[in-house]
Amino acid sequence: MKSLIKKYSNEKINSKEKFDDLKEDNFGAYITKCDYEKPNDSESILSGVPVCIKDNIAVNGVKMTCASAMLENFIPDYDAEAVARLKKCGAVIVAKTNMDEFGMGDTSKTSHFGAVSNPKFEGYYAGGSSAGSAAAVAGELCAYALGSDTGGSVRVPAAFCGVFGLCPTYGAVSRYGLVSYASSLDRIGIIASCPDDIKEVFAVISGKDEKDMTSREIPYLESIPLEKLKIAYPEAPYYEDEASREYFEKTLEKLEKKGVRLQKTDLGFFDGVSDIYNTVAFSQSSSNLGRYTRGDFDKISPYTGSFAENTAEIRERLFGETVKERIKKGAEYLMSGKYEEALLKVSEIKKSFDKIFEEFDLLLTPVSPGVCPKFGGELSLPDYYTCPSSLAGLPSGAFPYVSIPSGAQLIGKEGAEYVICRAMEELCRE
Amino acid sequence: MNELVCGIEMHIKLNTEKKLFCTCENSFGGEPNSRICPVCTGKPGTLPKLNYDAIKLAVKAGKLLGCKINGISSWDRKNYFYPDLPKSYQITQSRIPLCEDGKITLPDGSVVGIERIHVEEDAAKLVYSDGSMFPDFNRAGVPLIEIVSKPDIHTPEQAEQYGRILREILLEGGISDCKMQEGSLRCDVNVSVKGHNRVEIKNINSFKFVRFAVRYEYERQKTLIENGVEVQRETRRYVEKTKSTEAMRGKETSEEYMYLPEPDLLPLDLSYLE
Repeated sequence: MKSLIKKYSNEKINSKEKFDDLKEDNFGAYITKCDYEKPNDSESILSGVPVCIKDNIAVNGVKMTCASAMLENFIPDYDAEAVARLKKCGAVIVAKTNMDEFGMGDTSKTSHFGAVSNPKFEGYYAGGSSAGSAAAVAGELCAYALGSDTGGSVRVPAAFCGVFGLCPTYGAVSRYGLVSYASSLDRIGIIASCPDDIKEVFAVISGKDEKDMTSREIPYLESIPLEKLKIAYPEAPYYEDEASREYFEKTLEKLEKKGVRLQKTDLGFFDGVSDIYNTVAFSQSSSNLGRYTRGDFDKISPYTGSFAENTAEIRERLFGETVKERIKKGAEYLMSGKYEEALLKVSEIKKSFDKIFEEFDLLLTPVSPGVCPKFGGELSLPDYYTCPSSLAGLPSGAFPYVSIPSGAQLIGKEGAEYVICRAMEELCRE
Repeated sequence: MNELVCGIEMHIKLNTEKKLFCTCENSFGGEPNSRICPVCTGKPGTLPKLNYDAIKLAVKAGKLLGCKINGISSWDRKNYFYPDLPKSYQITQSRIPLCEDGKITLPDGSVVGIERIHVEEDAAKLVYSDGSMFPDFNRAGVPLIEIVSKPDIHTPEQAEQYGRILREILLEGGISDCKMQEGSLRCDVNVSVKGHNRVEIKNINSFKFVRFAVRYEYERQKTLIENGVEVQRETRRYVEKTKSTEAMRGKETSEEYMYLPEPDLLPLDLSYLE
């Protein structure tokens, strides 16, 4: 476990030559390679350090496609708040990374530009939807990357690619400039080579932003040593393969050896959460993706012919199948009242988590019920472990098993980011 | 027998310096698309940031009309596809409006109840030329209040009076410039014969026309009913030349809106104003 941020901090990129010397992308991780821009002068440890940004997060003047034919030529004239904060610290943006179209998927195969390959495990997907960001860090194309996590999209690819991922508390990082999939679940997350790097980046990008009214200042919990933590884990975990059981049990043993107080807990409420998650996410997506009614999104050009017919034709032609299906289902959920029913269940899920965190500091689960699929394969419930904390707005950190393409996650209460990072750091230290 | 039942919905542009969810200037006229930004044109990734000046004016309007002011009200999305709607949804307040249950008294002593006043954003203006059209987003995101009366109006004269008095109050209170020719005040009128279907007449741009439209529509509906024909539930427009109303095309009048609580905004909490 080495810090790529420290490595690059020592050899700052402050010339085009050094920028051009960065490793080449052999994994399909990039959608758009950025031009070299001289970084801001800054004392920050991130100054001169290369970063990749998921292609649903706006970087001023750089194409933002969301891996969709719909936005293939869209160039935003604004920075996402998280990007602006990184730039201020002198970050050097290397590329916009590949992903599932509009964040909808778990292998990046819904990308208009094709699926990303796993740099550490040949023949495997890189997970999704922030596949390119995870692969870019795993392949050491950059020091760290921003992704987005709606139901596990930072945590899953990070663990599958053998690196670390953080999905922060909802509201901790401004969503301004992050293209909405499901607004009440979407979060900008961080993918890095070690938990300490995640902490550095999180400290920079977190904090209330006037432009995102759902962002806020969160009182962060102070981190404590691993052996002082009380950690819960599932009594009857759901696995889709034997390796996932074996490695999760190994992780428990490792924790036990380090003197952590571990205790089984009933996680029965995780069952069926995927359906609730889908109802909430698809419903919001059908509204959020309504704005894509024309191909030339950054121009104000005249309309000719029938608006309704043209819009239907463009959406049929330029959206991928998964996106169309989710929008359609979401509209049905909204019209039938299923969405409001799901929201009621979300508050029950939150209460179930509250109960766990009355007694425990953290909850440990696998990131995914199965190991990363090989090309052409798929998991049946890839978001089984990740979507419950998405609905509850809680922070979660994913760490890799290293020898197989999967990992586990630590979920904490609101503001537990530093507790999670320190626990991951101490657990994974060789 | 055959009593006229009429209610009026008025859209009023608020006198704020800036738009409702961005910092673009809220004014009229000028070059098309000269007062726009990524937020009011609905660019991907942008988010609404509430202008509390608009809320202050809306609360003032509610108080002037004797409304109950809700300390917490909702933001909702009304989803539909139309070229004047950059996000394909309008941010409005459907579940819980800012103000409820007010009233105004007409010169003849009758009282017209105000059902609700809610805050919402305006859509773009569509500019038509040579068989094509383009949206002018200068108007997109301009703050509006919608004042919905109860169906307490029973003569065409009362309909006109209601409008005139309301405008007077809003003008005096500095809520709006109420310029109908600039679209700062727009009227939709619901007309029915008691016990029969209701017809909505959209976008009437003078109070005199409101009176004409109500009178014409009432007579039209009465004649239908007297001849044993049920009135069709539909949306019509006022035709100035003939002082009559005509049906709008089905496409312009879709009632199938999809609503969603706005997840990009917190519920409107008036304690932030203090």
